[in-house]
Amino acid sequence: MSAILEQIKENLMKGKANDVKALVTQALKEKVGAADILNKGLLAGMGLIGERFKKNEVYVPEVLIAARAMKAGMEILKPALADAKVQPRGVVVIGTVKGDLHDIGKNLVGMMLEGGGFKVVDAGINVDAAKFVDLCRQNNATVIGASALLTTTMTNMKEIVDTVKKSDLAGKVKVMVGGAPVTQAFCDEIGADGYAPDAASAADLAKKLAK
Amino acid sequence: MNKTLIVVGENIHCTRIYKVGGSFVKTLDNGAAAIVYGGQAAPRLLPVPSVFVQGADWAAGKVKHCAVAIWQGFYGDAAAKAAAIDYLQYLAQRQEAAGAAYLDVNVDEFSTDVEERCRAIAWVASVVQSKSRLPLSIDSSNTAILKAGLAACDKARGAAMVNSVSLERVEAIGVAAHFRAVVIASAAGEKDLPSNTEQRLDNIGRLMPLLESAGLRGGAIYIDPLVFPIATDSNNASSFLEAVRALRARFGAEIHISGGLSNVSFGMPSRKLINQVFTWMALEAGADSGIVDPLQINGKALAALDPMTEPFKLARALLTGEDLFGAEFITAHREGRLGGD
Repeated sequence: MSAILEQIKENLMKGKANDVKALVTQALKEKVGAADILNKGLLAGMGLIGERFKKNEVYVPEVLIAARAMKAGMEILKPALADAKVQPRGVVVIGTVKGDLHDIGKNLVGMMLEGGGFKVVDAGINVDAAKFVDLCRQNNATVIGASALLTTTMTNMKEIVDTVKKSDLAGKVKVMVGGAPVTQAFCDEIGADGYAPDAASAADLAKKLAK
Repeated sequence: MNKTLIVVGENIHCTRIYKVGGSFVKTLDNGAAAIVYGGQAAPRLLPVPSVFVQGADWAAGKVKHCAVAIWQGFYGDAAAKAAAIDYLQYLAQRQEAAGAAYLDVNVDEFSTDVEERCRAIAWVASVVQSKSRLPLSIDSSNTAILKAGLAACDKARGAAMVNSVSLERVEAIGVAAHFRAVVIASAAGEKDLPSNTEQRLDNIGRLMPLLESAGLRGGAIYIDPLVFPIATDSNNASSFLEAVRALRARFGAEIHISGGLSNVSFGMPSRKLINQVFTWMALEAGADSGIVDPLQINGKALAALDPMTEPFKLARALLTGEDLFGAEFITAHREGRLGGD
């Protein structure tokens, strides 16, 4: 059983979506537990890709195709996960802040979060504080991931932090921030719960915040 | 490729980093850190203040060197301030010597305080202009900073540049017109960034009349169809290049077509090779300008490119989207088949 999980992991890391699908199907047939396929196969592979990405050993397109392979595997696995009542690690609402139209970094964060076992609700670009909070309520999310690429728009992150703090979600929903101009110092200044310098770190941070 | 490229030199930018422990950052005998510049024969030092050494960037192995220079210029002692001025002038003169036509200056990430950034851009503008003859490109997403930078531009040396105006930033058009600057006119939309050729053309088509009515036309406009990374979408380079072709056909020979060409290689290895080949392809498509590092992208470097070599062919296949997800390119990089970088 561990051999097939190892194969799932290996093929996911190479971005071989079709092979991952076939292997997940085979593993289910062989009665491997859905939670094991998820945690020791798919998520283990994405975790390793994330580590290598942080060390600059793999490049963005390689992360992208690994994430695509993970998605393909998840489609096969979803019904079995539901039957086994395996829950996602948590729900994260991500988006680029109000006034900012950049989405490349935010999309990478979304992929790494899914690779970390989260359900991701992507609010898109130009997202105001009220929409972040609404989507958290609708989806029972516990983490907001806000992204900004401009110094003129990153100031809008403070409004998200303040809106959460003033709402009934205070203490229940954590706000993490990131994007090229954002720093730990800025995160502290606006009272956000965490800062991540890159997409792989964002997934690690979300795991800490969602606890 | 034998076409002239109008280079907007991008190196004086507060986001630019050096690696701590790399060849440009040195720890001195007394334990203090410094940026090393000026060449190996006679290296000069810009001290890195402790506020940077104690920061999160430093811990992550990075230092924003232009930000260090501005900080020393504002808050350092006399010797550090002199080194900071020398450093910024060195960056300017190197780019001028490499063939830049404009020097782009961006201080947006120096601090979160707009007033401090306004002072920073005015200071950098005056420091740089005292040792370089080039006009400046004032680069900011904030109108107050654009105004402060443009006001500090020496009017005797030809029009300054505003980087950038767009449907998303119409207020910058009036600022540019007031200071009689030329503009980088980007294809950003009011509500989103273009994701294909059609949206680029549509956005530029709607921006042009606004520029026209502010008195900006022809050679005063540098259209930027917007470059996005090939790493995240294999169509990103070709939809830029298609837009360049269509814009040249539609607006004629006089208008300039430019772009932040090095964006294309974000997230990829061998960035210099990708940037050079992409610039080559952009010129071929009808662009005549680029917001790039002139030490990397210049007439000489482009003339030296040989389309028959393996590295060039691999980079071109990556950029046309033929090499899906850059699989071949990345493999060639790992096997050391891409040459020098």
